[in-house]
Amino acid sequence: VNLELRHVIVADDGGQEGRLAFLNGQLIAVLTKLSRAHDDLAGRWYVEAAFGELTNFQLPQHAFDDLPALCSWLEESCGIAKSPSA
Amino acid sequence: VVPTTRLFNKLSSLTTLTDSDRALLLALRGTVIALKAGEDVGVQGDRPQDATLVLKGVLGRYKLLSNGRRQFLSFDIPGDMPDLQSLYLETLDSSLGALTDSEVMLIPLQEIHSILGQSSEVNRVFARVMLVEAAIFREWMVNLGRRTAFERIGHLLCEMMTRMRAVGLTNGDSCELHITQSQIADALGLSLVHINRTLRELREAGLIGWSRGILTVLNWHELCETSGFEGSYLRQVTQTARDR
Repeated sequence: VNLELRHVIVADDGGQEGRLAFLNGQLIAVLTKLSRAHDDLAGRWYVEAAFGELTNFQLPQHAFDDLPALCSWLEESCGIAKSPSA
Repeated sequence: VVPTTRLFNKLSSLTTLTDSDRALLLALRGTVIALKAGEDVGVQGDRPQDATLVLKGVLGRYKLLSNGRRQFLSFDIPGDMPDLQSLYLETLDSSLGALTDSEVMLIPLQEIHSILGQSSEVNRVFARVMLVEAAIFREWMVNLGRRTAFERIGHLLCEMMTRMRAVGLTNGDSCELHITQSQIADALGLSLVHINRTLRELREAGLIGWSRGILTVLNWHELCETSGFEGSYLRQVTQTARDR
């Protein structure tokens, strides 16, 4: 089981940094870093869309502080156990 | 001003009322209470003895789901009686709370039954109110089910403006609307991020201005057009949504 992130530019506010999240090679989520236009949410990470197993979860309505926080949620939701040392 | 004036305004936007009907409505008495934003008037399962008439602010009917999820079913403004169904249905099937600091009058159901018994026209207009409300729910269903985020917000704002206008709460193309983005998100089934983004699009398209609780529609025709708003479901006979 592995979670892979690919860098993309999302067509929001003239082009925003984003990630495609793949689980075992399959696209499971589209993530964006919120632009300055989002005021106090700017710079936080948001799940724009989700597929597969994730659709059984309630998508977070909030934005995450940073990418690692979002990835933790993804891993937890996809049932990826964290290694004890992590 | 008599507290029931907005109610009278609203009812007379739906039908023509006689002077004696007007007197009956304006004589309705109840207990006026102030509510803080977030405070409930009733919760699902309650058996109310009073009907709630909104005097100031915005109330909303809602349901809570597991995980703290919330769905607003309505936004209720002055003149609205969001739990009028209690006249005939004993228990509340949704909760009712204040979205902003508000003021309501609790009118004993008995009082209302009594005026309904005195005038067939008042009886008819109350039935009409409840049917128009059902029509509003149908529009909200279309909103939630099929409209895009842009259309959902646009449609909601057109509806709110039209309803505010009927009870005399607009000033030109502006009205006070202090609801938060998070409350709109919970009404439209969208995330806060999406609401934020879509409101920006509406502003950038020159359709609305909204700051410090004052909503201004800058291009009514275009806003209606792009959001698919056609106000006839509100059945306002004396004041219709303007066609400019």
